[in-house]
This record gives sequence, C-alpha cells and structure tokens, in this order.
Amino acid sequence: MKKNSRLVAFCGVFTALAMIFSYVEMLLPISIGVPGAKLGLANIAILAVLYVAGSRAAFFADILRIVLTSILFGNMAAFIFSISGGMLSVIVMILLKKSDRFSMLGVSVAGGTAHNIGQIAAAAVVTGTAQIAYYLPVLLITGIITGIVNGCVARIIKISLQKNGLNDIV
Amino acid sequence: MSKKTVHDIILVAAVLLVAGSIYMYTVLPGRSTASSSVKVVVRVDGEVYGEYPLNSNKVIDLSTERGSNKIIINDSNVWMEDADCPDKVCVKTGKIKSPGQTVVCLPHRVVIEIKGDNADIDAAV
Repeated sequence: MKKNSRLVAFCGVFTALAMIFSYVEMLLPISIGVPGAKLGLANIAILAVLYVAGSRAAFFADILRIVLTSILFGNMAAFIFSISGGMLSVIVMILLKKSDRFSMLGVSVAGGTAHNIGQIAAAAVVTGTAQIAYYLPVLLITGIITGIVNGCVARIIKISLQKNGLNDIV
Repeated sequence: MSKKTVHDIILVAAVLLVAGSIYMYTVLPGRSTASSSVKVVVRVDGEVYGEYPLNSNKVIDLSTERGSNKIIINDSNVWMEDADCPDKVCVKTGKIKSPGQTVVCLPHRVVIEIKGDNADIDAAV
C-alpha cells in the first residue's frame, strides 16, 4: 500500500513537471519558421516516468499532460496536433524500451522524431495537403538533436532518482 | 561500444536516411521550374480557396471564422505578411518561391503551396 501511494505521488509530481516544461516552452520565443519544431522538454519528464514507473504510468502521464496543458494554457487549436504527436511518441518509446535494444538516448530520439511525424501527419490530414511533408526532413533532424539532449537530461534524473532510493516504487 | 549504443546509432542513421530521401523527393525536384505556369494555391481547411500565377502581384486578405491572414505575391515570391494566429509560425516562415514549398498557418488551417507545371506527374502516384 505504501509502495502504491509513492507511485501515485511520483507520477503526479512528474506529470506536473511535464506540464511546467510545456508551459515554459510556450513562453520561449524559439521559432525557426517550421510548424511543430520545438524542444520537447516535456519528454524529459515522460522519459523519467517511463524508466522509473513503467509503461502504463508513462502513457497516462503523457495523455494527462497534453489534455491539461491544452485546457490550462489555452491553445485548443493545437490540441489535435499535440495529442497525435504525443500518443505516437509515447507508444513508440514504450515499444522500444520493451524491446530492450536501445539505450535511454535511443528511446528519447525515437520519441522525439515520432512526435514530429505524428504532428505532421495530423497537419496533413487536417489541411488536406500532403505537401506538408516538405517540413519533415527539418523536423526529423531537430527531433534527433532534441531527442539526444532530452535523453541525456532524463538519464541524469533517472540516476539521481535511483541514488535516492526512488527506483523501487513499482 | 555496447550493443545498445550500436542500435542507437543505427536508429539515428535510419532517421537521417529517411529525412534525406524525403528531402530529395519533395524539395529538389522543385528547384528547376520557373515558368509562368507555376501557380500559388491557397487552401483553407483542405478546400482550395484560390489559385494565382506566381509571377503576378497580389495581396490576398483572407479572413475566416478562425482568424485573418494577409498573403502577398510579389516578384515571384509568396509570403505571409501578417496573421492574427497565436504562434506566427507562418509569418516567420518567410518568403517561398520554388514549387513544392509551403507556408502553413496551422491555427487557421491555411496552407499556401507553390505548384509547378509538373503537378500532373505528382498526381499520378
């Protein structure tokens, strides 16, 4: 029972962290003129949840993060793009982690690029323009770079959590 | 190097390869065409709103229930001059001039696309 409540508390804290990352990212005026290109900082928290608390927790933390950020910080227009990118990303990360063939960095890179693919696919459907795939090369490359950076940060967080005895919550 | 690192590198290489092939397929074929049959197609919500020759001079004021966009065609360039969307990605995209290039305003679901005269070949896929 004690273990269970620690898991709930951990997921709550990290979902909140993911939401704050999303919010901070909205405030940062980083834009390279490509729709959908962003740092994906929230993925740091989702990766930490995935590695510490498991697949199910990561899946629901990501859905919660997207729904709550969209409601709280406005931008319902972007909801369909966030949810399709987020779902594809978290599912790909769960599968790659389960395969046990990639390090945390590889899983993070796959998650970052999958997020961008999901977003562009949703954008192509909504606007009825397959030509939007034009942005995919740039988005894939930014996905690799942000994926590597986010993966490094998430690994540091995971190691630090384990040092503090928080790895035995599942 | 551990086995996982090798797999990570293969993954990154695969993604780069995909990015490269899409780049070759979408961006490079457009470089050569610069004839008068090159068109600017404006779409709203997937429906064609209007088609204009690229070598014309035009200011298009587009307003829908989602918001307004100001598109300018000038000197064989097209750009989004202004938009009241929250992120302004479309304005920051800047000028486009080659077939295959697009300016997208996702919040307003507006897409500006340059279509070359080889558009029929593209459609045959």
